[in-house]
Amino acid sequence: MNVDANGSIYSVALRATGRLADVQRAAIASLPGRFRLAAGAADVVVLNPTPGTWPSDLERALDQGAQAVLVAGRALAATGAARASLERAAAARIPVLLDTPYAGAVSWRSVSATVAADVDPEGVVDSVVTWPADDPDQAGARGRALLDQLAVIRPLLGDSAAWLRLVNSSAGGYELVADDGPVATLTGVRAPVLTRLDVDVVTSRQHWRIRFDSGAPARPVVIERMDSDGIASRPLRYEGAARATWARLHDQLTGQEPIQVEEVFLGDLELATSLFPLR
Amino acid sequence: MTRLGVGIIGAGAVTQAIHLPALATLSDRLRVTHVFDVDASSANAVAARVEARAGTSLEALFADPAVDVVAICSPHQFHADQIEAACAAGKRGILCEKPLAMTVAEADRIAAATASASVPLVVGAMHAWDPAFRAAADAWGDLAETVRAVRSTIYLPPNADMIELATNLFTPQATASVAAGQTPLLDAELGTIRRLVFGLATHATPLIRRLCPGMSGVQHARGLKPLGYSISYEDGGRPVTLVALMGGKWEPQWTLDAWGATTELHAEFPPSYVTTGSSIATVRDRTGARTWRFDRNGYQAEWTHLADVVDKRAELAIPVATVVDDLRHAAALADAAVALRRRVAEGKA
Repeated sequence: MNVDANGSIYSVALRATGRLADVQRAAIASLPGRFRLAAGAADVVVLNPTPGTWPSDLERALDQGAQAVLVAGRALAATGAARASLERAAAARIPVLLDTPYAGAVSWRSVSATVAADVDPEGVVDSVVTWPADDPDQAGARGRALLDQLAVIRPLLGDSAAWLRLVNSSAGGYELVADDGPVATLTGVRAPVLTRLDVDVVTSRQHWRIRFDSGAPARPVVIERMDSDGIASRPLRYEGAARATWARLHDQLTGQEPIQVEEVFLGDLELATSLFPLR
Repeated sequence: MTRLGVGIIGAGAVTQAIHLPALATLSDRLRVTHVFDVDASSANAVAARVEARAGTSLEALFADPAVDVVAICSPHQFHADQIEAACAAGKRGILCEKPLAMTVAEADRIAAATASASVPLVVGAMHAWDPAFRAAADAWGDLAETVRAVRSTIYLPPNADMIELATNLFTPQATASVAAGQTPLLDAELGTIRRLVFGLATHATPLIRRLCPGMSGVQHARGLKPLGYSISYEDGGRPVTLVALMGGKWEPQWTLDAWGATTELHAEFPPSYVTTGSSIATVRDRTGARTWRFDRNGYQAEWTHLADVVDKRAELAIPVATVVDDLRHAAALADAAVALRRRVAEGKA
């Protein structure tokens, strides 16, 4: 293992490119006591989430001896191939995390179970995600947006996620709705300016209003709970999800967090690929 | 310039909590001169607040020379007849509360009556007149030509909460309570969808139709308890999403979002009843964002505009043909949403 003198700084080979690489670069730069970019061989490999092929890219990184892998986003791929590569890594005790700009945020993770407990069969789970209109790979960006949205929404819906069906799909957007269980509406839109995820979980008792904004690496998640007493806001945490993901990766590398296959992600992937089959 | 006399038909909550406060802020242009209600105590109580004549005779209101313009705030099913009567009586202008009508046939009668009498008609869909939204629409560039998706979300506390803050509501003592019947659950849900498409979604309809004027199919419709809907439809492949839930004890949230090729629109509307000014409407593109907010709300704007049109200082900004088309759209949406929900619930979809 290529470990720094103090025993806790891991070298990183950044094989991702473009906007996603910029996000990872910023996160790595904010954790200089744990990670450092390296020009050549490194402990940790950062991969592009290339639709369809990222599991084989992951397999290749494992073959080449990566000690940990961070996939710089979530992209559509055959669930079987994704599972095989992730299970192989877990069996070898090699941490693999797939970054996601919303669900990974610490402030959301600290409250998500509470929000989920407030979801009511007669309530509303309403969500809009946007992806950049200038992304050269629009199909890939749409798939990533859906997976990033599902990473937040599917745990809220639990078994009711099975009711989701696609009612609109175009190059410019999509819409999923549920005909039973909570009234779930998941919209995805190709947006010219803001890349964001809005979530509203509403019942007659309370309204959770959650606003994610991935326009800048450390833009905080705004989490508010409204009820008859007014609005309670969670403290703003100026830390993007990518930084939190890197911190988790470090915890896994140092044995402070168990290495597991991300079953929730695989569930999201199964649903997403059933809606948008890979060509 | 003389002040225009306003005759109000219907002295219920909308008149008391919305129109009287709005007209009070426009007292240099408009004054209430006559209040009609089928309940004499309501007519008297509300008229007394503005020192107007009270009555239970529509004929008397239409014959009153102090009434220049008529505000129709009666139950929806009477709108067409009352608009026809106002036109026949030679009134100079009409403001009709939303929804304009409950059927396309009624809307067509209204269009014919106002056209033949050349009487300007303003429909009280306050967001259509919201000054900030209209300013944003003037500045949104190619949004209407390139729009990819539109969403309307409405989360509102009970109307009573807002009415209490807007007025001291007078309610007649002899109000008959309707015995609660055993309505089958599905029928109740379908009734909710239809009622709210006309009564609540109708606020968003004129705005959405500036971006997505048509409807090529309804993909999803559900009624929500205690009162709400979730409806998804398409206009030429572009998704339009409508979500509403009323009755919760939380802050209001009433928004409209649209995304185009280069521009995004986000508008946050205040709740009805309370005089809190316009929406906060933002148009954003890659060069930055511009936000509008004005001290006057859509009700004040619609009254001011009607006065301007009657006084020949302006042309009617929203033609009757447009509001009739909006009503036609709402009727088609309600029919399609109800039919789809019935098919889904009965397992036929």
